[in-house]
Amino acid sequence: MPRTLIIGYGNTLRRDDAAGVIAAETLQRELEGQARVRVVARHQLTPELAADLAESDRALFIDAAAKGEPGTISLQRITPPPPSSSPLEIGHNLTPATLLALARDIYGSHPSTWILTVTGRDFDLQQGISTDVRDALPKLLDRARRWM
Amino acid sequence: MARTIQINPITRIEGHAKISIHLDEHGLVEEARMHVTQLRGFETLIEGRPFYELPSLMARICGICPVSHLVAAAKACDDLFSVQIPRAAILLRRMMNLAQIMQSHALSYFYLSSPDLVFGMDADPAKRNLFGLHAEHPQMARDGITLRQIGQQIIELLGSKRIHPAWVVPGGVNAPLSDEKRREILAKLPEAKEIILRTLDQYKEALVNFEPEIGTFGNFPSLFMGLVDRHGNLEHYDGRLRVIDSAGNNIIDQHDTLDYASLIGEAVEPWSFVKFPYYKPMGYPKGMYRVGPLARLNLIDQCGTELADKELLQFKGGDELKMFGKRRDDAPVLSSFHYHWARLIEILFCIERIESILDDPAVMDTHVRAHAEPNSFDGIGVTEAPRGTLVHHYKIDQEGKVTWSNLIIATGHNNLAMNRGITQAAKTFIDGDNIREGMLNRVEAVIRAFDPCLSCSSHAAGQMPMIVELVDSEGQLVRTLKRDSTNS
Repeated sequence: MPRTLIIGYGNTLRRDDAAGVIAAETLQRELEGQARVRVVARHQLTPELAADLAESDRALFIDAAAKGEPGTISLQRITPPPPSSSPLEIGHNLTPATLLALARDIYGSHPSTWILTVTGRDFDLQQGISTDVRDALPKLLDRARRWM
Repeated sequence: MARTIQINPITRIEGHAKISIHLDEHGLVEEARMHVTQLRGFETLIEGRPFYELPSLMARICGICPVSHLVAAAKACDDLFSVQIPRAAILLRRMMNLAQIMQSHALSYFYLSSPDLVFGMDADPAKRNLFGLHAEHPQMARDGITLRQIGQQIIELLGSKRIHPAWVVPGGVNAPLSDEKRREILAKLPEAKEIILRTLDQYKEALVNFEPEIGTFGNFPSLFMGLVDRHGNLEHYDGRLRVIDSAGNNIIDQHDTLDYASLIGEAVEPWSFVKFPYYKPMGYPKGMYRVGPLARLNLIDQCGTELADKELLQFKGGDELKMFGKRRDDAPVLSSFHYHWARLIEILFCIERIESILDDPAVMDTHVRAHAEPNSFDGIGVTEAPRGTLVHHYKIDQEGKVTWSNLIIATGHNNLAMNRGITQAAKTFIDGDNIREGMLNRVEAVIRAFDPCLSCSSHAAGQMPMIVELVDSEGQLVRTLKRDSTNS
């Protein structure tokens, strides 16, 4: 049975940026006790997640997107950049692709990975998501469940 | 004639630094300044909020060291309660703070600074990152990730969240430690210890390659300030303030943290949003002092744990330091380059201290929280954060709402010293007409040695977003070197 990792991330104090965290926390409750699926909610992506990715067969990142029509759901396959590409920054701006590269380079493997996003409307300094994202959350969660 | 340079604030989410270097009429470096142009505003943001929200609100100041703010805020709330919290709660809070210091130091050393230390200051910038490190030293790259992961996992085991745990509350913590979690944490420590001992050896071996940097990276006399326990041991959670001079004399000892304001003044400069704290009895700017790992190791009598104390002996008086001109074993280490070394020793201390806490039966006590209402309108919490002494001070009204607050964070304490440090490095390494990347990196590395948390929330490994401006004696901009997050 494949090992699956789901990482929802974002800043819960930046309105719609919280979408990934909210989705992950919902899935955590639903999937509690399922040993083969691990769901984590993170404020930001950090290099330690590379170790978790390297131990997984499949991975799904859930994030809020800044571009596009608010409420739009998108699921895309992501792969790490080739080893010979330009140097990748390790800092607050870690991306899922950089993390995959880190998992590949340091731990020798990386999972098949997708990123699921919902486009946000408002990323201002405030708690609480916009109506667009709130309305899209059931669809986002449904898409994540079907991905599993 | 030199003129004032106007720098417009740049509003960014991550922390950013800007350095201006001033040349005299002969083209020689006169002064360098680090401009932090980002405003946090938390002191104002919390006005009107109920005091019991403060720990979780203040933890939001920083994604790297939230636990430090959480603990300082909770201690200030304990002071508002005017209660003695249960011993188990103190041990558990202390353990979380130690795990926080461990992971933050690991981030600073492995992710941010080790590429410089491994490849050298003049190495190709493309190599100076975690990927470059892995390509040539895979074990070290793995060690960095594992060590930080262990620190984060301990925080998560205690608080159920890595980044903003709400487990630390006014009056204590909201849940006791389970036996299962205790065993899980204990099981992680041997690997952490193995990694840090290996890293300390690697660091000491590399020192010989950095003689010019050690001599000029913020290497000057200053005061040092930090907490010590009643025996003069290394202390990160409680304790009292000690201030030493550059010769190692205690000029203040066992000073009550609640009276911090009699020791620390805060100056402002028009060119930075970060204040410039100074040692009040000596005035501004003469009262420059340093805090953080280097200061803490300089001012303690001993760490108080076996392996860290062995390392401390080498740190304070070993051949490695004598090689760079240190003459007395008991004299403080003055070069800010050695913040890195101090950071590694502190990681070792944190691991040993967590072990000893877990061996104390009191840590398993289920009484972990004191319940009370505010009994004071004024509350102060002081801890040692990874980067240095952290002060949270709140005033509340009859309804328990915040009316005033003051935060003094480590990056602020070190602000005067960081600026002096980059001036020293710039004077040494900058050729006014020929700025090279290696020079830029050396100035950046001085700042990195202090591990500042600009606006208490920013780190960008190996490539701190930075602008270096070279200004002639007429105030004319000679040249700008810009390095942003895309390395453009």
